[in-house]
Amino acid sequence: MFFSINGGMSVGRSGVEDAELHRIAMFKRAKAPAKLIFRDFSLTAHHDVLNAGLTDDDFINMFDFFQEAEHVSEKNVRYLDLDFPSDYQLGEAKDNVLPFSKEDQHMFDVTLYPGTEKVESIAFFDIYGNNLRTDWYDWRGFRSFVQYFSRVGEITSEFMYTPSGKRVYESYYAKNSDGQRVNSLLKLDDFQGKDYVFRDLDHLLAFFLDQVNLREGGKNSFLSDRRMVGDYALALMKTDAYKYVYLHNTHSSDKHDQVHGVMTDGYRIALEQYPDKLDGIIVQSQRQKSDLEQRLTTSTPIMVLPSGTIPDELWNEPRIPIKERNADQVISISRRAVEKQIDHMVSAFDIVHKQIPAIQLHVYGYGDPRIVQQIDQQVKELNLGNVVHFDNYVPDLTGILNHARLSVLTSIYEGLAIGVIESLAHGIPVVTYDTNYGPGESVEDGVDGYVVPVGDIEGFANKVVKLMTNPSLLQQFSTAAYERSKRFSESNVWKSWTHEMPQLG
Amino acid sequence: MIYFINTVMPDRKTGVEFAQLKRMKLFRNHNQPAKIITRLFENDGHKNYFNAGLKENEFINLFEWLQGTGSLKYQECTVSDLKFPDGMSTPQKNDDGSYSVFLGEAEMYKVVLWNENDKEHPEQVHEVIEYDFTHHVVKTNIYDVRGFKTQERLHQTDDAPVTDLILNPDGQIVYESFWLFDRAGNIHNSQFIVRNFEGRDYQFNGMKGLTRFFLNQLNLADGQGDIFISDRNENADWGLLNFPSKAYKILYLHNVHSDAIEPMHSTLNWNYQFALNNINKWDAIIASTQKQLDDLTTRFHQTVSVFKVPVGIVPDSQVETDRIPLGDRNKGQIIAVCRIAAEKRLNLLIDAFAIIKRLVPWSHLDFYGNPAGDVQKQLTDQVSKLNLSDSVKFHGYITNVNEVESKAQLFGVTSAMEGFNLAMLEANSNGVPLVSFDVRYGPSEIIQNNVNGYVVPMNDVNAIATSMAELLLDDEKWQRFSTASYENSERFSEDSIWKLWQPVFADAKEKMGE
Repeated sequence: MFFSINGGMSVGRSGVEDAELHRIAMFKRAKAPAKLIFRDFSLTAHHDVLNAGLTDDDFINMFDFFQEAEHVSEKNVRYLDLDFPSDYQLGEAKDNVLPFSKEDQHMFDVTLYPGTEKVESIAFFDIYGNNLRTDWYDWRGFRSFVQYFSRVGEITSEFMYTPSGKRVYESYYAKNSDGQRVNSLLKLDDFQGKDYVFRDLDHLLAFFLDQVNLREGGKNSFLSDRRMVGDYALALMKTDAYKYVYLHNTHSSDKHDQVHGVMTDGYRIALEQYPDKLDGIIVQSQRQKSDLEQRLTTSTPIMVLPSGTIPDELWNEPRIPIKERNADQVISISRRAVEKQIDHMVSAFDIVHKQIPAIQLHVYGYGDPRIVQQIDQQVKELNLGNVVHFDNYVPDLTGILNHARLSVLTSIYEGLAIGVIESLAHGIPVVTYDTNYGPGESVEDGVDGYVVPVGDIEGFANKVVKLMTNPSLLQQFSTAAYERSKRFSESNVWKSWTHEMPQLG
Repeated sequence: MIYFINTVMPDRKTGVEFAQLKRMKLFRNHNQPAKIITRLFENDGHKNYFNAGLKENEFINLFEWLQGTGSLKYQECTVSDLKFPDGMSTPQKNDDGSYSVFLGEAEMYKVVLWNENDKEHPEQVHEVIEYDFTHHVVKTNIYDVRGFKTQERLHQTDDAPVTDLILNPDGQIVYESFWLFDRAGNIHNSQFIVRNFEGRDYQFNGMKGLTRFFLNQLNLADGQGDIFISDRNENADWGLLNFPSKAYKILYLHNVHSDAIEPMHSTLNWNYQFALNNINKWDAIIASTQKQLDDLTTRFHQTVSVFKVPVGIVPDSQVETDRIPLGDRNKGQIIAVCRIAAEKRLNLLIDAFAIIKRLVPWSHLDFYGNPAGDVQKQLTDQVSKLNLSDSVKFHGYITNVNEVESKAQLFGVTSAMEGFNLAMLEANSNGVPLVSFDVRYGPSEIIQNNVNGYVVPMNDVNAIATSMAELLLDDEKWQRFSTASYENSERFSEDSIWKLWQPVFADAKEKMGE
């Protein structure tokens, strides 16, 4: 079994989660068994994965594993079904919180999952309003998690239970030297007849990975998709397994020098402290591989294996000529986050707009609230409200990709930029900064797009104008994009994976 | 079922516990089932019932009831029976008798044994303290002396205990209580939660509500119509009088209900305030003396049934005991058996003894009982000022009361009031003549003046002294009084007291139906 390790699969996904979904799909079509591993406790994990098109069989949540709750049939626990003594009365509900009282005492609040009658939590109070205990209910309808509180309302202790009510996990808190409250003891109760204590989540995760490895017959493959989640646990594992880390991003915060620049904190564990415990360090571009080869001393192989894959069927679809696409439509598949430098994009389109008044830019992706505010301000100041448009995450971009003429990206760094590959695969030329890594390599300058030096806003704008005012050049680039992007087809990518990981074959 | 309500049954008992135990023995000998109810959580409570001479099925504790451990037997649980997590060291013995368990260098567990707190089972585990990786106490696992984990105590980051979880032997939480800040910022046991009782959770602000729940459930489980006798009133009477199911509820007055000098008007004994302010909610009131019942009726005009049943019972074995002549006793020994407390006014007995000592040089005075507050120190000072240190001794709490009393020559009481006074009756049943002020209620009931002792005017210390001196100096008279004392106790024999219970049972039967 091939396991990809992450924290979880929240509804608002980022590129890492998208990459995992692509990977799972690729493994499924290749009939190679694969699952995601989620480290983080979640009441709604089994519900959330439905949005991502996954089922219970596609993932193992670590706490589910210990709570014996990997496969639980959903039961609707409505507040109406809770069995309270008859002298408890429901007060006036506020949003999804239902206060219950006995005589004049506020006894507890039942909180419902928004938009449902399902119980999410019950918080109990004393006559002084102290929160005594809060019980959390899994979406599937069992009391999963219980918190107890200190005299000032901080969590002191947390217990987790199986669906049949057996306590299987305890965790406790202490204050560290900075006065912050951190987990100071994690404990498994009676796991296969024995108790286990752990000093932190990494050690618990490592123990869990070993257990999963054993359960699946040993010598499975484990890949850590998030450095802060899985990398250290892989190094701590005791059982024999194939272990990989996947770099979704640049490894140094020095955007100009990835060979000598200071290494990004979380990557040090895998790349500098424990690289020899790994069977592979996976990157998404040749350029990143050669940068790493220059700086790392390990003999562990560095592999180029894109996670972004395009289903083979796409190339069987009829190609959409440029003239059938919306004449002024430019897109960017890019979150509004600091590293995406959306402000450069807006500035560039201020220039473009002066030459092509009808130009329209649509940016798809979630916004970091701090950045959103700055960009909105910029758009307002440049009076581009009718030119630049922002849309939150759209799960299926196919329609949009089939109607846009050009795709743009101004990031300062990227791991791969799957949006660029998806654009190319849909016949959309791309204008991008020469970003490490991914875009500068996925796009061939002057063939299926333009690669502009990072920060050259004017040059960037000129290339956009050049293509958007020259339909025949755009068509030529579009045809090249359809062709050249085939190297990212699923069957081509899968070939690379099986080549690097013979155990998959 | 007949329940006697109490709080705890400690090894150091007071009059209420002794009275309940005597009553239990009486009921047992007449095949009348009964149970003593206790309501505090203790991890050694169970053995105390047996220490008190109770049999299985003669007691029920609120928490043992919730835990389902009422009939759980002792089993060994020493440090070697404990299971520790993977990777821990074997337990290392410390100088203080505890054990520590390490993970590498870090102490992760400390095991404390019962040691001298349970001489029978010193190796039995008392508690296991759990530390985190910063050596902060996260949890204390408390063990019942019978060898199972009975409680988990959760601590906050400064190690202060915040949450108590009481467990059944399967490890399920059956009860939680919380130690949190009240509005004034004081730490308060602010909430009790009964977990998963027949599928439901019940939340209480305090002992009153929890007691109401408990008593009601007991009564329902018995099919209603139980008899509940409130012997220990604090936090119990409210629950007893307010539970909804049908039961026969008795207020048993062990003590005076108010200042006995002005029983019609003075402030009520605070123990009885709630009970007597709600006097007509009871089905019956029992007191040891008719006089107390009369005073009550005069003051409250209550409509509920009243019965005289003395709390003192002289067992048959004691009635038939060999009578001990003066020659086999400690000549000149005056005893007082009571708590060494202010309300007993033992300074007056010492004052009287100072006079006796001049008249009867071989006399000596011995106190037996638990010291309360700093009263004993005041009395010792008084004794040394009077130069009586050689002949006045304080012996503390004793358990062999009969043996001491059977050796004594006189028994003195100088309180201003007494509900009954069990020790006095016991002494008398051992042939010890009694001397007391004429106070409400017990002494004048137990003493027949000039027959088995003397009742002298209130606060007349001289009269106490001369009465005692007279008996100490006149052996023939003493013998006459001693014989009368042995005979007097027949008035309190098991048969006599059992007969007094019959009208109570008849009234209960009439009111409860079957």
